[in-house]
Amino acid sequence: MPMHIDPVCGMTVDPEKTKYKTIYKGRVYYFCSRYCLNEFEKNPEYYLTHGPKGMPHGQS
Amino acid sequence: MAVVRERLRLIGVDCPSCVYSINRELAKLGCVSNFSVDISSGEALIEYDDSGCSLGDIYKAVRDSGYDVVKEVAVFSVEDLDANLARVVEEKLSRARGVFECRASVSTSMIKVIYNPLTIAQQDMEKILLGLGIEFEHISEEARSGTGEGEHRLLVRRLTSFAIGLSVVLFAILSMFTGLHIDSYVYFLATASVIIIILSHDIIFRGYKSLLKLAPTMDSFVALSSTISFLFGVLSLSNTISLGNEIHVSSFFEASAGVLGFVGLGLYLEERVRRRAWRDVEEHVKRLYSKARIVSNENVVEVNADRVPLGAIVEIRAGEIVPVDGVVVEGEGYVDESSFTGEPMPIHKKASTRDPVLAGSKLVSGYLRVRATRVGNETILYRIVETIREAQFYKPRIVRLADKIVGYFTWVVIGLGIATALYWSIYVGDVSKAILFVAAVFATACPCAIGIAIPMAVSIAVLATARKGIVIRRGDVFDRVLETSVVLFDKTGTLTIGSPAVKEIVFLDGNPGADAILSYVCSIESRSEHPIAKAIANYCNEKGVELRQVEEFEHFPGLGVVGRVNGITVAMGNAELMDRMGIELSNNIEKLLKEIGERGGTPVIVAVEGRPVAVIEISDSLRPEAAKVVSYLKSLGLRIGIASGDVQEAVKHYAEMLKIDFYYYKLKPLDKVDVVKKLQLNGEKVLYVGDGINDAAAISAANIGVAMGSGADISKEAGDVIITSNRLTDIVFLIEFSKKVRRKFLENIFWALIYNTILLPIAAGALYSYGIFIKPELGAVAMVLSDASVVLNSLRLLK
Repeated sequence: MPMHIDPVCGMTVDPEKTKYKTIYKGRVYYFCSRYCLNEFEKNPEYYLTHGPKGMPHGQS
Repeated sequence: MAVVRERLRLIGVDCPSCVYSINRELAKLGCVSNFSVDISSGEALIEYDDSGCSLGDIYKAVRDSGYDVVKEVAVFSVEDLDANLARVVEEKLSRARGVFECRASVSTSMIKVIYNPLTIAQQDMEKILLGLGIEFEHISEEARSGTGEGEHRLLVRRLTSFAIGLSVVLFAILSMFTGLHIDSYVYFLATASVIIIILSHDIIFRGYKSLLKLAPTMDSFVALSSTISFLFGVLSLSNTISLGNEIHVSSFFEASAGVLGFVGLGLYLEERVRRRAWRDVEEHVKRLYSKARIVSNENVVEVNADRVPLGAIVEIRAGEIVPVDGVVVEGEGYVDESSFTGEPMPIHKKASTRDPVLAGSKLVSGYLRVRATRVGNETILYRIVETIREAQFYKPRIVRLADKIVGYFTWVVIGLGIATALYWSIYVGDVSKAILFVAAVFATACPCAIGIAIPMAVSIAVLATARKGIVIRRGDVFDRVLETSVVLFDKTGTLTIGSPAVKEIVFLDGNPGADAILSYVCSIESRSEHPIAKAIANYCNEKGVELRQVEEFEHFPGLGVVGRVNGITVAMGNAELMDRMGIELSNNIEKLLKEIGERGGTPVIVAVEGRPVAVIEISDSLRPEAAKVVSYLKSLGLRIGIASGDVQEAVKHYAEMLKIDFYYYKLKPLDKVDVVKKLQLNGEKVLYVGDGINDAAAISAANIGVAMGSGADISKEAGDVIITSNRLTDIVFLIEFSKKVRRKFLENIFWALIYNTILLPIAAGALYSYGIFIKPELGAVAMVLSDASVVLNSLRLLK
């Protein structure tokens, strides 16, 4: 399977390896972590229209 | 305040967001000043203020954020680890650099250290133990609960000291009543004392060593009491001989021999109880390392059970123990699974239904060939043994409190000893009384009942529940279960039987045809492990539907599955999956879904190429005991809820039937975690009961997580409690039993404290003017009796 881009952080994700995935508007999205999956599910449209935002460093 | 730099190797960290989520957990600790990670290697450097948190807290924070740290485990076996020594060891080792966690178990005499191999080596920990004067043996996994030759010799030694001690005391009593007194009698007592001191040298040595380290233990009291009286005996004897007076110093030797002899008896009894409690576990361990016969090309090869390759066919004959977890592929027979389920009736297993069997169960009659699916460390039996072993290391809060009390108490006793010595020798001016009373104070002081009987009660309780098919993963579960305020149940597989079946399939239109739809549905569902998928797969088997090649397959927990067959996209799941796929549902379909839900069924919508083509009605039935369990929990004043992934109507149907207080529906696994957390934020203590597959995360998040399963499919990670018997009524048993365990704790602590409060002042000579006092050897007897009574009281939990 080809590699996918995590729509939240922009990392390349191997769909065969990751367990974090969701489906939105008939398309499957893969994520590097539970954190990115949660972020995406909160507001999928934002990430699909704005593109990956990278990591939210410094928010802690 | 000191800043500590620690190098860790993290597991599972491969992206910046992982680092972010770990960082968030670490920030909550408020003591971490710097945390940097090299994502490619997982190497992390952390700087923290060790006055604010420990490495153990950091380890926990990393794990809480869903990742792990490379760690190693060392287990040491120690002869006669008492509660006080265990406390000292835990304190010292937990503070050592690179140690995540150290737990010492009195009931197994083992110390378990989880450490960071990048910072500390096993030799460093050995040095710390040697420094505390502890003799230990480093042990391997296999030998962890074995009883060695050395232990047997130790028991003989303890019993011998008791026999000699008892004869000395009896002899002394006899001579007191008969008035018989000969000089050589004193020499006999002195010799007996010397022999007992040699036999008990380990206790004395350990006692003084910990006293020198300013961490006195029970052994210190025994050592002080016996050596003070012995040395004074020797001094008086030599004095009397040199002055040529009549020899009259026997009571000091009696005291010394008596104290050590009776302490020997106490230790002997304790060891016996410990062995009795561990016999079950040892039996399980033996089963783990049995032999297995592998069949290949009709040749049979015998190997150790843990060496069986996965997928190999293993032959089992009547009367033999099943060596691996697996499924029956040939033959049939009756299997006794009582060690897992507590159910005494053997269960019929056969190849035609591919029945699962578990390592450690026994084939009572018949003949089986089993395909190994889990071997060695992966088997459920191994998990159970490991769990019972682990439970010894956990302490309920009440024990931690008792440990603290014992810690202070030792100093109070030493103070009392010194005060007694000063009062009687200087104020009263009677040195021999001072010595006798000090020895009595130390001999009477041992609050063993607190120190020993409670961890013992926990271990016994863990074993007792394991026999019933309830595996307790942490010793403090009994305590925490009773704090529950809300019980949250998963529906499918927990309140219901969990073997759903297809009730009806409604085809929505004729295109592409019922047969083709069924073929797609069956091909895709055959790939999934979900209970609903299994129900559909069973239906397909019965109908003899031909399966096709599945090109792509994705499972979305809480939603459904999407796959491609013959280039056609097929989606099956709930309404939310359809919504996410951008598939619209007509009013008729919505109405149908509602009707199915109101009947308590679960609708599965099938869409082919973006069009809904069928709705499958899946129905499950309520467990017959569910209503009884719910009404019992309500009678305790608990609030009961359901957290289910199913549609609103179905959940409501069951909630109304069972008179449940509140329910949540259409939850995905992570939503269930949110529900648990929300309740916790409102101050609720949540007990979550789930079947351990979709509920693993919620089970971990709850205050008490209970995983239910029928043995073969229990999730190994989640759950403080695992109910292998798959009986919902075991929740009732767990709560009732926890009440019993707590009652035992309180009884034991009451007896231990009452006993010390009453006897210590008398031992110090407070009532001497009324002619009432305690001889040291009688103090030791009283101590043994009190100890024995609380231990026996705890043992009653096994009934």
